[in-house]
Amino acid sequence: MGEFSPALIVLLGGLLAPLVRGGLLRNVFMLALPALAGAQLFAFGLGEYGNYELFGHTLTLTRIDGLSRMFATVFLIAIALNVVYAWHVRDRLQQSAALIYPGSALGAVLAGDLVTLFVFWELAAITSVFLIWASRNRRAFYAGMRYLVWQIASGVLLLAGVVFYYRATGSLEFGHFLDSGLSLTHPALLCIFLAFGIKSAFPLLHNWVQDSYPESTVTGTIVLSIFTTKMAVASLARGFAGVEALVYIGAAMTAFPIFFAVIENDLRRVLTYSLNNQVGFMVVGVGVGTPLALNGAASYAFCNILFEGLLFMAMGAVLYRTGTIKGSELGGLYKTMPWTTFFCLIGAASISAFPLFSGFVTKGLIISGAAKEHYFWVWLTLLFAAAGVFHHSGIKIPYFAFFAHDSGKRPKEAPLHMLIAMGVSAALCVGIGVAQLFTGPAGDPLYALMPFEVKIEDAHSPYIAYTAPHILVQLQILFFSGLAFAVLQKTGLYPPELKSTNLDSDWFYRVPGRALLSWTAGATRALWRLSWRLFTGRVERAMERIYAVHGPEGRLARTWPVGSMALWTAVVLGAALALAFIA
Amino acid sequence: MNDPRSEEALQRGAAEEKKYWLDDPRNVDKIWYGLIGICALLLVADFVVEKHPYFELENAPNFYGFYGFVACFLLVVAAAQLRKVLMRDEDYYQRLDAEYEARAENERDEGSAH
Repeated sequence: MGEFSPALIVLLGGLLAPLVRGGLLRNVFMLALPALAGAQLFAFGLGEYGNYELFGHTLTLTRIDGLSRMFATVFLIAIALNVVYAWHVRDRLQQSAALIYPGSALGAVLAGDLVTLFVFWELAAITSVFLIWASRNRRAFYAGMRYLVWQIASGVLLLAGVVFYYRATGSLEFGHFLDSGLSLTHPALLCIFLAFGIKSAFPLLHNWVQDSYPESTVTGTIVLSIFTTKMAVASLARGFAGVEALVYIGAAMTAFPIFFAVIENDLRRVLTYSLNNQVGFMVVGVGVGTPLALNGAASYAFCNILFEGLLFMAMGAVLYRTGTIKGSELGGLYKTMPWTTFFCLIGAASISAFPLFSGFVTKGLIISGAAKEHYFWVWLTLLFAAAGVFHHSGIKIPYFAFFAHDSGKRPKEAPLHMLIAMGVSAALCVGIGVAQLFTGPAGDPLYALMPFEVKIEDAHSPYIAYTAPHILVQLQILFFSGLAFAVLQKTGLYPPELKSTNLDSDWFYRVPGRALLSWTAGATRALWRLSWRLFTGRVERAMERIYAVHGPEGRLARTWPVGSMALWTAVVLGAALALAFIA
Repeated sequence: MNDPRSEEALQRGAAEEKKYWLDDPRNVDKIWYGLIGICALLLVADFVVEKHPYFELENAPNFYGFYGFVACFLLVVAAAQLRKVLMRDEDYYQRLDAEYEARAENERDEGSAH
């Protein structure tokens, strides 16, 4: 296949998928795409492929280095898992978008220059909205429109940034931006930083995630939850590693969404808050910028895609079987959905970083990375957030869906293909979690994928996950958090799940913003009508005056007597004669 | 999507259903005591295991357990207070959408009347 990009295999395959006739055949075709792309990715090995010329610049379609390989690998695994999970779907639009969009995100992660990045960035934005609209209802349509505004804003900012950057440096290379000598406050870098920030859902730029993702379909939400934010994290890690602002932005991202997650009733929306919080951990890792922290950020993204995807899958299965995902209407489902419950608990244990699960071996790298650089308050915030994650993703999600008060619902177990997708995800979560126990830290296969070389200097290296103190402190924080949950439940202090909408930053543009827009539109309309009336009035009056002079009754239209005509002719001729004499 | 909450299914389910381990409140209590037991063990283990802290604070006995408990407790209490400010009814935004749509329709009608 020469130097054909793995991203284009998925992307073009996604375009062709709707043309494949027969549900099963199409599914098999779709599953073959990530496999083929994966084979291509590893056949390539590290390096740059698919260079092309544009306006005298050499652009790089596929750049495989440690960072992009790690993200690309997990993207491809996730694409395959999503195809299996959505085996029952026969909606061509959704199936196609579920490949083109991840293919675009893959392209952005592999992009070696800013033009290629921009093209895939925009493609990912535009193709992903179809997954939201695939719900085919009014709510989803509005949410999709709001989503699109944010996504396109990010794309436009990126384009502006790239143009400024090119003007300032003459380069289109996508590397570390600060190496170009520009500071973060330069308009070029500010634009690019914001563009990345929107997609990774920085605080106050975050709400498009909660607003739109839960409006998608059972399978669409899972696809959406994976790619856009991680593509942004990969881009931040490449372009802005070590930018201190990211440490504080990331810390804020880990902390504030968990408050919303506690009171949110829609369990898929709870997971979108958890998504913000999880990306926050990665952003802190990128901000700290040491090889340890960057390895932590990349590998945490890798694991997060698997366990957060697993949690979304479990909630998708609940929605699929019961028709609702509201905590207030669920409970007791473990009785008839034991496998889904089991897999969900594995996802919950992984995201909470329980020993033996994937979160445990990776989250510690970020937290240690921050601690090593003496970010005391950030470290405290991360610990708080880690306890909070356990609380809302680790306990709340499985508890209110599968246990809690019995809702009386007795749905069937999730379909086999969903169980397979969840089972493989769960196996990966556990496999990554325990690998070190068998191979030793130096031989951990996940470490071999990391962007920076793993250096284990001493017995206290954070890379050695299974040490007595690490296990102990992690169990302490988790079990005592669990104790807090139990105490709050027993004493009735725990806020019950209520049918409700909770306001978030989207309120500003959905209520006052919208009112202002509506008022502005109304005022503009009124102003226009007024000025039109004034204008037409003026014109009418002018026309009347002209009519009065030139109209059939007007002065200029009067018939003139022949005598006065002769007189005037004589006057003019006389004047001409006089002028001729003078001259 | 099949709705399992049809009346018939519910009644049939209630009559035939087998008892699960968790249905017995005594077993729920066992989990509760088990949790307290594990926490107590972790508390003791804190004095046995040698730690390698980054910050002074980590040397405090059971710092992580204490911090986790307080963090979660405060998180929930604060979030419950947050509800007073942020909570609206379920159809809050849908109603708003409907209002705007109705208004837009009115304006269209007015516009075409002119």
